[in-house]
Amino acid sequence: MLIIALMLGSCKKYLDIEPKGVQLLKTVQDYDQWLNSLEATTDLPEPVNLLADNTDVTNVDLPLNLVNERVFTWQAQFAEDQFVGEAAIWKDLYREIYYYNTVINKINEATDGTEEKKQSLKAEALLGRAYSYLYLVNLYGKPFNPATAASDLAVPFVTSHDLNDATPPRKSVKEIYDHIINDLTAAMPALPANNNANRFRGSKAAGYAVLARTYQYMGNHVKAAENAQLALNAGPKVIMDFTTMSSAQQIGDLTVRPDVMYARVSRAYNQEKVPTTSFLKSFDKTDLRLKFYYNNLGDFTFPTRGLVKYRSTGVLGGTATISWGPTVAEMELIIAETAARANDLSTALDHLDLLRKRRFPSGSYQKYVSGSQQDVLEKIMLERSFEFPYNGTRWIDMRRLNAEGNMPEVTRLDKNNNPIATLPPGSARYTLQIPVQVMLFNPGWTQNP
Amino acid sequence: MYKNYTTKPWLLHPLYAKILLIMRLTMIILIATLMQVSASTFAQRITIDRHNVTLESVLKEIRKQTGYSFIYDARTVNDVQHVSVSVKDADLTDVLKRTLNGLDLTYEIEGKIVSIVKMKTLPVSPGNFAFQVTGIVTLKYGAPLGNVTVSVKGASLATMTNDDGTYSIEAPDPDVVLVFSFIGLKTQEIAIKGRKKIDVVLEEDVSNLDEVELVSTGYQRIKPERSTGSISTINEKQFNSRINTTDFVTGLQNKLPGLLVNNDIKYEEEPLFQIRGISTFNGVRKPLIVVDGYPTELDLESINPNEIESVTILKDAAAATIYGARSSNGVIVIERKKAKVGRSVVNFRATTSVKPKENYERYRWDKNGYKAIVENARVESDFQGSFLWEFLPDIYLGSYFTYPEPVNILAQGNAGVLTEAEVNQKLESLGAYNNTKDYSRLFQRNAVTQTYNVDMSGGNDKALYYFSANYVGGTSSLIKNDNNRFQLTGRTSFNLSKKLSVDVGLSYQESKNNAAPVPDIASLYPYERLQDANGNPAAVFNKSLVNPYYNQTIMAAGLFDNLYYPLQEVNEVSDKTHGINNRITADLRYKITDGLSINVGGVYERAKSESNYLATERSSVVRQLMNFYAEDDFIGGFKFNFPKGSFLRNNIGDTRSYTIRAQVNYDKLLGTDHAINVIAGGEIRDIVERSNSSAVLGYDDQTLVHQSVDYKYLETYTGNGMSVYAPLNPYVSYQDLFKLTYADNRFVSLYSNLIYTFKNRYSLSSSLRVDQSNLFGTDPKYQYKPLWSVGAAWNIDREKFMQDLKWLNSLKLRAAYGFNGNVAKNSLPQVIALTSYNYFNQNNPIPALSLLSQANSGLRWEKTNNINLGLDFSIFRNISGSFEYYRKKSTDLLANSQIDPSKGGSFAVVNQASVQNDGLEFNLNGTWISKRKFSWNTGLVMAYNANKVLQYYSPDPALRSRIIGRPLSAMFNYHHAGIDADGEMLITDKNGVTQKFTPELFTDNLSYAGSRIPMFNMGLSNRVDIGRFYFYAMVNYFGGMRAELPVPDVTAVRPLEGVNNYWKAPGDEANADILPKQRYLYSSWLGRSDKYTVNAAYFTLGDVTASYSFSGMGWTKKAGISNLEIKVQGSNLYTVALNKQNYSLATGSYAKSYLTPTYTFLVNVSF
Repeated sequence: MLIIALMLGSCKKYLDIEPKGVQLLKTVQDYDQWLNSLEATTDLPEPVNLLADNTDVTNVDLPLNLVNERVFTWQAQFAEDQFVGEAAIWKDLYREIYYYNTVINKINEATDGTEEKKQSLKAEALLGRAYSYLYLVNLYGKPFNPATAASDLAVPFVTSHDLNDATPPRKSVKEIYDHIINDLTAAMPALPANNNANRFRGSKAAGYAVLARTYQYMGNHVKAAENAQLALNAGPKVIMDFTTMSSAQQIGDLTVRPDVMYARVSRAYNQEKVPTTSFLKSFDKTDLRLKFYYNNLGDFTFPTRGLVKYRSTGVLGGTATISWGPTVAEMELIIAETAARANDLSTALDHLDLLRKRRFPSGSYQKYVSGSQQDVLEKIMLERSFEFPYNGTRWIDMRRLNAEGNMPEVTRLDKNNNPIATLPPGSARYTLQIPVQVMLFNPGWTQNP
Repeated sequence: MYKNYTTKPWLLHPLYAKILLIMRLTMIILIATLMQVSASTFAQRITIDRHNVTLESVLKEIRKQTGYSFIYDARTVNDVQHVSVSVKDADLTDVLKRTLNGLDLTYEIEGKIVSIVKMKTLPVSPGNFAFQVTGIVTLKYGAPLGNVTVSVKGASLATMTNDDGTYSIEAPDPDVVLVFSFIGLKTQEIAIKGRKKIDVVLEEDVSNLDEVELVSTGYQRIKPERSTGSISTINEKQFNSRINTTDFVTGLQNKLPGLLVNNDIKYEEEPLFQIRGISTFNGVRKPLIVVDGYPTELDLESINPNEIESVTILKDAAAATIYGARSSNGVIVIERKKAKVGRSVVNFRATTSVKPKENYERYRWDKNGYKAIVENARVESDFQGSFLWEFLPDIYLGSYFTYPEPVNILAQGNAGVLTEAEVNQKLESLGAYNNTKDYSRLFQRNAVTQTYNVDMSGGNDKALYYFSANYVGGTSSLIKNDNNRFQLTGRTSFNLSKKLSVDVGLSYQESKNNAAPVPDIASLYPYERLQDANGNPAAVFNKSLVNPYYNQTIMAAGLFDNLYYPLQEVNEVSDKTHGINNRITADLRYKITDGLSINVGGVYERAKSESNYLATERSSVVRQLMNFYAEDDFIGGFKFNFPKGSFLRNNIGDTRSYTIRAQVNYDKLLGTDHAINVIAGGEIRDIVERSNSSAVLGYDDQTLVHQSVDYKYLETYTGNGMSVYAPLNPYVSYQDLFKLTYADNRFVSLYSNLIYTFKNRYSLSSSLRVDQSNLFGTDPKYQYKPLWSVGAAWNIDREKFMQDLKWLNSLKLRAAYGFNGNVAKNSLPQVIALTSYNYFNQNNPIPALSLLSQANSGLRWEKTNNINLGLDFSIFRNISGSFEYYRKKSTDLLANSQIDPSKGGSFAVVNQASVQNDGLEFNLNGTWISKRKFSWNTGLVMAYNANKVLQYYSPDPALRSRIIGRPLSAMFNYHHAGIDADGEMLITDKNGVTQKFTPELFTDNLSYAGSRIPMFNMGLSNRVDIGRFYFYAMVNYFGGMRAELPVPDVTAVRPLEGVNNYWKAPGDEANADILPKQRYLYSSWLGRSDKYTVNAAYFTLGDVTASYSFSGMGWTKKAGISNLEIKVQGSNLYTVALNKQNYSLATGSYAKSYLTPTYTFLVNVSF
């Protein structure tokens, strides 16, 4: 009996041994490297680009078997079968969230390192998680509308990293935005002063930049501009000057570029994209971005679908990838948009000019001028589509435009140029359905229309 | 009939028999000294010549000459006055016999002491012996029993049975009572009642030797009538009716209902060895093996079949839940032989087994297979065209063009190097040769296994011991492949006081395995020669990896011969394994009061194995590696990054485990009606497994010198396509060459088992166990969740209303419900990461860690819910059996399942899947005839198991296994609908439409065909004892499974029968047996059609054994041999399958049409 009693006493200690031969997260350095994972930083869901109006897929044919074809044509569900296939988009974002939740929940148990370092890593994780939720709320929830945000359903706010914990229910759009803002605000004091050594990591500027984007998507343009300015004050302020370069290869490595506030890319960042001919036609022929990122430009009449290809590393390849995360240019355009919406057109045009003058050959460049608020706003939105063509933001801009009633109908063509799908203004498809693979495990949830 | 007491006067009184037994015990204990004593006894020669003297004076003289002391009752000896004895150089016993001749005295020698005692004489009065009774005394299982005292109650009349069990006694009158007694057996009193012949069966006395009758679960011993669980036992006699040589599991095949043993059928690459189906996806499938009370982690080879006393399998919850998290697959409890008070033996056993060479004449290879090979070669060479001959020796292209020889010959024809006649002549001479005879001569031999086993046991009520030594030496049927092992075990038991006893056991085993690469005959084209005209080793196609012309090119350039020469390789490559298995057990029992005791004990096991794989520089292994890593040095030579010399790979595996257990036992009869048996205890268990691999290159096995190697540079070659000259050669991976593994699994468990019996009729049982382990998560919901069971048994035969049924000996109904657990070790509760890099900064990749598997605090034991119903019966004189039904529903099975993507992934290993096993079992043991010189016993075991997946989230239709509602071992096929007029295969798709087969149609149109593993197995054994002979035969049946027939294939190395019978012209399709027209790889698809799926049920004639016993014969007795047996056995004699092709899975392959038997000869001597 005594032996049994003794055994029970030391039982916990006896069983508490560390398994060998596997890499566990123990030290601060482990968590630091964990935040470098490609899955956490370079795995944004590429299909988000396929939803946007500037993307073309030229070989679509019925039936729509492939996930990409189904995303491209805004099907309610992207996987053909509820059992086969993965939850496109959703799974990538929650995978990233898993990384950040692990740090947020476990960093305090790290066996070494200063409290300051732990707080700093935790702040980076809060920033990373907020960034992923910003996508989720803008894909699976309706655009933020102060009147209905508290009742519009978005996504579950998963904070656990343990498979054993149940998935929480869907939160409202407002609740998710509140979480994002709270997390970013909480993270701000402990975020590193800069991320000059590795732009994929967090910094104060990155925090303000994500907050600026968040407020912009919420329609709180004043706060968006405030935070954009704070980001510019805190971090890099450079906009790469294409006029001094001959190709995108000279832009430099994304990891250390001085125009990137928070580097993020998708897994398929290096794939070629097919721009729609109408998108190509909306470019000014002299725009250096055409020259740097698009091939087979011909005589700029773009008569045939699929001839021109876009490459986010530049046509010559390399590491000068377009960032999905906030850049200095995006901050300038947020300030410009805020000013335009406040009818402060000169401020808006000045900030627009900061970007544009670095995108056209200096000889032929002329500053854009207009007295019409509507024209200036449209010009800014157009400029956003040129500057961030395939980095996941165009679809969210389309949602913003649609919410304001400014988004025209978009039509998709099959491989024989026959219409195969349309996205009319106000379509329910602007809010994605929860993937069936998720609904399977959460049968009590309300599905989006 | 002669009178026993006149020939064996000193055996008359039962007391003497006892004294003798005790003496024998002492003799055995002191066996070493005894040798010396007996030597001196015979060395002491006595010379006496006395006449008419007193006996006392003679004895004194003997004492003087021998130094022996005498003990006697002075009165008896002093009475004897006139003794005459005259001997010269006689030994002690001789002198004593002569001296006491004619006196009513006899003698006993114990050590150096001679006792003279009065002989009991019977009154000889012919008038009283009017009534003679004869008969035979046997043990329960029919074995005749010698030395049983047969006495007349109340009179001083007695005799003893002969070694064949017979006796004859003359009773004073026909109404007396005869008493049959023997130590360790229940004494029986039988009234003669005028009968002239009385046969008696003596049973073992349970009160004295209760461990024999009780059923051991490893934790406790239970009276069978109290047990509520599903337990099957095989005792030593049943186990040893066949000759068991090296592995004990084969001896259990089809002998215990519910245990499925089949080495010829595999599930997930492992031979079948399971109890009641498969109840896990990734966890352990084998039963837990318990030896002498403690689970063993050692290799099954460490269990010596000669040492097995009994094997018990625990199948359901009531029986096995006490093993908690390791009991889902059932438990095999092995009790090893122990010394017993009152029995002492030295036993020697030797066996020799011979397995003859393969007979390739009886293989189902097509006699005209070469024709198909040439036709296929023609297709291949025509496809490659006339350039092939140019490509073959090309230093850059040649390495990618490697074909069997007929293609090379035809390529020369296509290129115009040879005329058509020359080509035909060459092809013909190639095909004129067949290598089966040479292969058999050069690589094969009769496999011989020899075993030697000696055990000695004995002791008294204070101390018992058992020692055994075992040697197994085996040569495989392949040359240069052999193994041997040696084992020593010792077990002792001490009763230190009335309350305290200690058992200690030790076992040490060493094994050696030698392997050398002998090519499988199926990898050699029939026309390939193994030796050239001068008898030197010749190269063969497979494993040469380059064509001979390219080989000449690279050799001319300075590289090494890349070809594979089987006869050379077998001498240049060796793989030797040396293993050591140790096991130490100790148990301390302390009896507190009557019925209450505690025991504390444990086991420590250590298994170490070291293997050395050595390939010399002459081996193709090293030559090919050197070529793979060779690099042009641009100054006319090569840089050999893989050094010249031998290649030695060393692997050390080390497993250590211990269990420590403390247990309280309470076993009490309260009043007359209530019996309670409770055990409660705790256990800790730790298993540490380590391995360490390393390699040396450019090694010299003589000087032990090896060369330094730039492994980092080798790694850049591996998998990076840097090899230029022999890119298809094998390569080495640094991670594989130098690899360390370590796992530490710890368990802490508490358990209890309670059995309550009322009036010996009704039993209730319950058991409970909580297991905790470092392998599992921290969710308290699962962590303290106990596994439990309840059971009930009703001994119906003991009810009053059953007492009139004289033919019914026992009838028991039992039912049990509960949970068993299983361990699946491929997940951890923590986040597991993987080293990687963020390469966005190309010149300076940033180290990163990525997710390998998610944290899961809910990781837990797999759980099996078990329902069991059983009926045990024993009827008439000797027929017993049982019938059982069970349902095992296993849930929380760890499997790579689809998970909620919100949890950070699409798949994870979680406790989610579920499997169910339902089954019926029946066994019957009948002794139909039990006569003195003839008995016949039959054992029948039948078991049915149906397995199905209940839940599994992993929707991969292409995999087509593990489908919900189908067995884990499900087989799927599509419906073959004949051949069309173009010679193409047709199938009937899922909609019933017949269409031309394309691979795309495949997955969607599969349907369930059956199980790959037997759902039904049966064993029928018969043993007939005729006098000193017995004959034993075992028939096995495995059914309820299907098998895929191989399709005769022209691309095969040795094409099967019918390979030339394929579609050639329209109209051929009318022949139902015809193959489709030849098309690349068609056979793999055809093989998945129902046309090539057959019922795989088969019978085998497993063992036929004959035995002859010399025990009790005059010459054996003189030699001091108590038992001498010889046995002959044939195993795996014959098989018949229930399909048209007679394709029995027991043969190992379709090509082999027969079973290769094993013949074993055994000699067993006991002293």
